[in-house]
Amino acid sequence: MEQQYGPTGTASRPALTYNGDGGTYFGILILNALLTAVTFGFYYPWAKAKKLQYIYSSTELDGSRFAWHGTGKEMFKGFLKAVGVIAALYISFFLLMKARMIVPAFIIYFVGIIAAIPFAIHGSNRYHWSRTTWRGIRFGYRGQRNEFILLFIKEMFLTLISFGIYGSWATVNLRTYIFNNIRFGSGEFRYEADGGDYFMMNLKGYFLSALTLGIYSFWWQADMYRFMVDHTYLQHEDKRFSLRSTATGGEFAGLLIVNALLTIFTFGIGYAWVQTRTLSFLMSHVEIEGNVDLSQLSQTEEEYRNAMGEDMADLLDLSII
Amino acid sequence: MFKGTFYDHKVAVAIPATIRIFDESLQFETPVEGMPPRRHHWLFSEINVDMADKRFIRLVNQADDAGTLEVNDAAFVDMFLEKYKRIRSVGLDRLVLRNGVKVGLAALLVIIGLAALAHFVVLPWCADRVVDRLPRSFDKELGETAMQSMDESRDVNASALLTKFGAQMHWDSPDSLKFFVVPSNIENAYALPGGYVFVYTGLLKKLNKKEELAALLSHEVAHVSCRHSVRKLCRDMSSSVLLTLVLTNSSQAASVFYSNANALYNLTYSRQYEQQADIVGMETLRKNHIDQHGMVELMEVLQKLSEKVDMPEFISTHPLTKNRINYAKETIKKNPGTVDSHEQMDVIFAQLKALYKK
Repeated sequence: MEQQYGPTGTASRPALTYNGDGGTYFGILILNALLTAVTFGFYYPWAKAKKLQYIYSSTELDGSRFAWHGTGKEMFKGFLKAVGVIAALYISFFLLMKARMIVPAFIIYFVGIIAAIPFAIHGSNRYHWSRTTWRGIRFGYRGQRNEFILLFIKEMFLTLISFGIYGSWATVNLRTYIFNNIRFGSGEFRYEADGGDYFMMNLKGYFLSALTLGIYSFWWQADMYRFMVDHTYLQHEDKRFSLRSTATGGEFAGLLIVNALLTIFTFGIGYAWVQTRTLSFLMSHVEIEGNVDLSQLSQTEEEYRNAMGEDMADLLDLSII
Repeated sequence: MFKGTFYDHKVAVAIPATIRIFDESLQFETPVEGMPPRRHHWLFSEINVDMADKRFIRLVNQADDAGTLEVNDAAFVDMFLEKYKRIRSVGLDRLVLRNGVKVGLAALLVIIGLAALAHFVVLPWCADRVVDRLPRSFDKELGETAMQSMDESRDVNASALLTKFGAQMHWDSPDSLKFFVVPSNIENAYALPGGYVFVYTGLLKKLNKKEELAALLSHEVAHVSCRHSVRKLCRDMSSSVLLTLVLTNSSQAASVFYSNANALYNLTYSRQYEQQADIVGMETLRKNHIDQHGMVELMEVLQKLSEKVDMPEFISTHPLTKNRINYAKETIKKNPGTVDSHEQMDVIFAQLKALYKK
């Protein structure tokens, strides 16, 4: 496809790379584990900050590194709030059960958990993007919480009553909402994809994987990654960057098989190297092309330091970003 | 003078900067078109330091002259940290960023050390304290439950004789003891918590003297009075707690590794317990003025039985019989005892043996 460029824009291809080193990352993780163990888990938010700081600083776009500004203190406060909310949910459940009000107990519990997930996704996105910068310019997430919770519940409900068939459309719709609300300074992300295409791709992936006893799943994985990357754009004024994944199924197979071997034969100690390899693989297989002038991105996003959603996402074991 | 890049937090333009470091601050200049360069002066006290690796450092100033300064130069990082750490302490993580995998390995060793300490010292100690607090009635209940679930047939006559034999001795046990004979060719004996001692006829037939039987009973009763079963139960439980922790915090492979190591280690527990039962059993013999050589002779009988299979010590539940004989002999040397004749016991032993002489 030929890209149309405006009169001022010249095409550029900024590189996205991950330069982290497995050994250093291993040191950070193991030191985190040690400090978390001797503080009975209280170090966890600080450990997470250190880890993210390293990963972000090791990621380069167009020769400049990203930065993570979140702190252990912020995430610790968020953690306390998130624990409070989840504890309140459990306590009300048990109190109602004790009072033999079983139906309201389960209603409160399930409504609570179902609402907590989109709440966590929303909060996590707000916090995460606001604490991420590149060349001093903050990212941001401008989604509306209630709007997102309603959208999430609607999509989950439709997925449930269609026995999961609607899942592909739900994924695309939720992703579209989130991506379209991510800001890169004055730049805006766009996700333009069709749920039907995603469904057909997953259908094909599912059946071919079953037929080939799972061998095709690497190619399915590559398709899913491509579906996410290739439909993402960065828009700045009237200029645009398109993203393209160059990762093939064969390459995914190589990555995942070596990762599995690394994990097994090091009794899990190789985790740091596995993650480093994965990040480096995913980023080096993204091609960015277009006429956005990155140096024209300006500061538009506010600071947001409430990490409650971020911590709730951790507690619910959601991996969002 | 070092070269760096300055970002003004307004637009993503990379502005070249030339930097100089002083004792408590740094100064840098950024070019302004058609004018003399702009001079920035940042105090160490107003900047945040974000070090990514030994070559790259990011300094962020949120004060009046807000901006980010990024420097990709190992010499600058060294010199800056040298000055900066006089004001602010340098955390452990900076050590990792500068030395990489070495610090990681050292930390890993510390973790393994702590885990080993927890596993070999702290957990067993805690488990033993728990057992000390458990009432004896717990042992009794546990023993009764085990006995019901095993439901072994008993030789009533022989059991009565064995009970009579046991009654001839004085036992230092808070539990009321019950002795049973189980008709079976298995050459073994065991004790359940709460004081239930079972001897298989297969082993009974191999015993030659009353002292050997007395030693056998003393050994089994020592297991009961030292509460070995309950101790083992508590230790197993505490290591399964540790196992769950390992399981949730690391990979499947690590937990399999741990559970195998743990199973092997549990065998050494059991060997420790056997040795203790031998020694406590000999003390019982001594107090009853029964010849302690009965224990040595019992072991020799067991040795003959086990000669067919030769197991290395580290996978064996009992200490190797040769070792047992050695420390039993040493114990006798250290604690010689007087011997009474105990004619009544001889009579009962003869009656017991007579039951199986056909």
